[in-house]
Amino acid sequence: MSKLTMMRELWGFLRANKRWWLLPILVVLILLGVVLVLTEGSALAPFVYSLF
Amino acid sequence: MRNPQARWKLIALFLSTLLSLLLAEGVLQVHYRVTQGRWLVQRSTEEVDALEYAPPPHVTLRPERDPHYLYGAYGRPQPGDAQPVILTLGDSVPFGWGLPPGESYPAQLQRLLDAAGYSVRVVNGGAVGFTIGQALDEYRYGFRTRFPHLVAITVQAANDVAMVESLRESYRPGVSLEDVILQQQQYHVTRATHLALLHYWRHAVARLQEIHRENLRKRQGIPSPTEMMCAAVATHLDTTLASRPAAVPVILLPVDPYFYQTAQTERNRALVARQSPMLQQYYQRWAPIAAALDARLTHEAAAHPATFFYDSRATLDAEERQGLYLDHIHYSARGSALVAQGLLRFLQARQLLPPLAQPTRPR
Repeated sequence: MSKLTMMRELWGFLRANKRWWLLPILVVLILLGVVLVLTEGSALAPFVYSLF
Repeated sequence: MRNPQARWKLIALFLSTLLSLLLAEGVLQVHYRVTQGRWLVQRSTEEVDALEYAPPPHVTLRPERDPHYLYGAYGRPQPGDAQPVILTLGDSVPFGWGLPPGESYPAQLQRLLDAAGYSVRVVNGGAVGFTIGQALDEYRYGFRTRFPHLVAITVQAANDVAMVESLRESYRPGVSLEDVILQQQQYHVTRATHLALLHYWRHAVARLQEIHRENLRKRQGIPSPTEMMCAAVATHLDTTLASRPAAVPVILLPVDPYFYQTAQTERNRALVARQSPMLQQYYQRWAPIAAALDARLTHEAAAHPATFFYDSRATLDAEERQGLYLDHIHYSARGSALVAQGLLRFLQARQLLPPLAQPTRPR
């Protein structure tokens, strides 16, 4: 099952069952994943010894 | 809202939003703790630096410049008599940051020269925060006329590496400590960043901007920040070396963080592994930039007459590095002593020092 299909199924589930309160959780989870991927290898603490 | 069902739906939506944000905050706080080795609310080293970084009482500030720039342990060097001078240019490493007066390597070199009977004055021209370009400009526009009897000039500065490492895709030649401090304040030295959501969000946005700039740079064929920095250092060196009196040798010293070892790769790796995850990330970013700059300095020394590369790393490799550094870049008194001893041997081996003063015989 592709990621897109899974998302479509989830959306279908929300629409069919009218469980809209689940939407923020899904959105935040997706954003969380994006943020974690983006900050992986990013300079989370880049200025440790900048004053030489 | 008249429809009670709709009202409850709205409340459920609000509560689920709140709950998911709280959950995300918790996950990110834990992620930060696991990856960085400390909680986000703890004061970090960079915050300690920013908050507690102040000149020690014995140091004279240069009034005409930004107060971040301090001269090494002696206040602003003043011209003396006709005594030959060794000028140590650079940043807070020759400055002797964190050391009591008299323990920096220029000061220790002075004592060694005195003990050996050389009539040479060592002038500490190290200024906190200086890049190599700034240090060399200082020679061209200031020290050159103030100290005409130069025996040798040493140059050591790590801030070029720090600029590239900190500013990354935003790096451009000519940036200074202020640019880094500005960015530091923007991302770190605010209490609001203790909120993990905000902290990670800012970094994610910054990362996206960085990716965009990187793609743009590659598409336009612009050199990488490290390449730009090395080229700028080479240009500065070319200009300065061409403008110095021919007889004055210039000795370049490597950028030498404590985890950098020329011969002890395995020991080096273990040294970093014992430290925090944050240091490991830091090391991974620093090591290639420092290596590139050191390679460029070696190359420049070989390409110019009367220009040398004194590899102090080899001297420091002889001992365990933990005792040789105060932090991850500044030498301890012992580290400074080793560098001073090595420098003296280097100067003697290449006969760069004036002949020893002959003791006068009593009649």
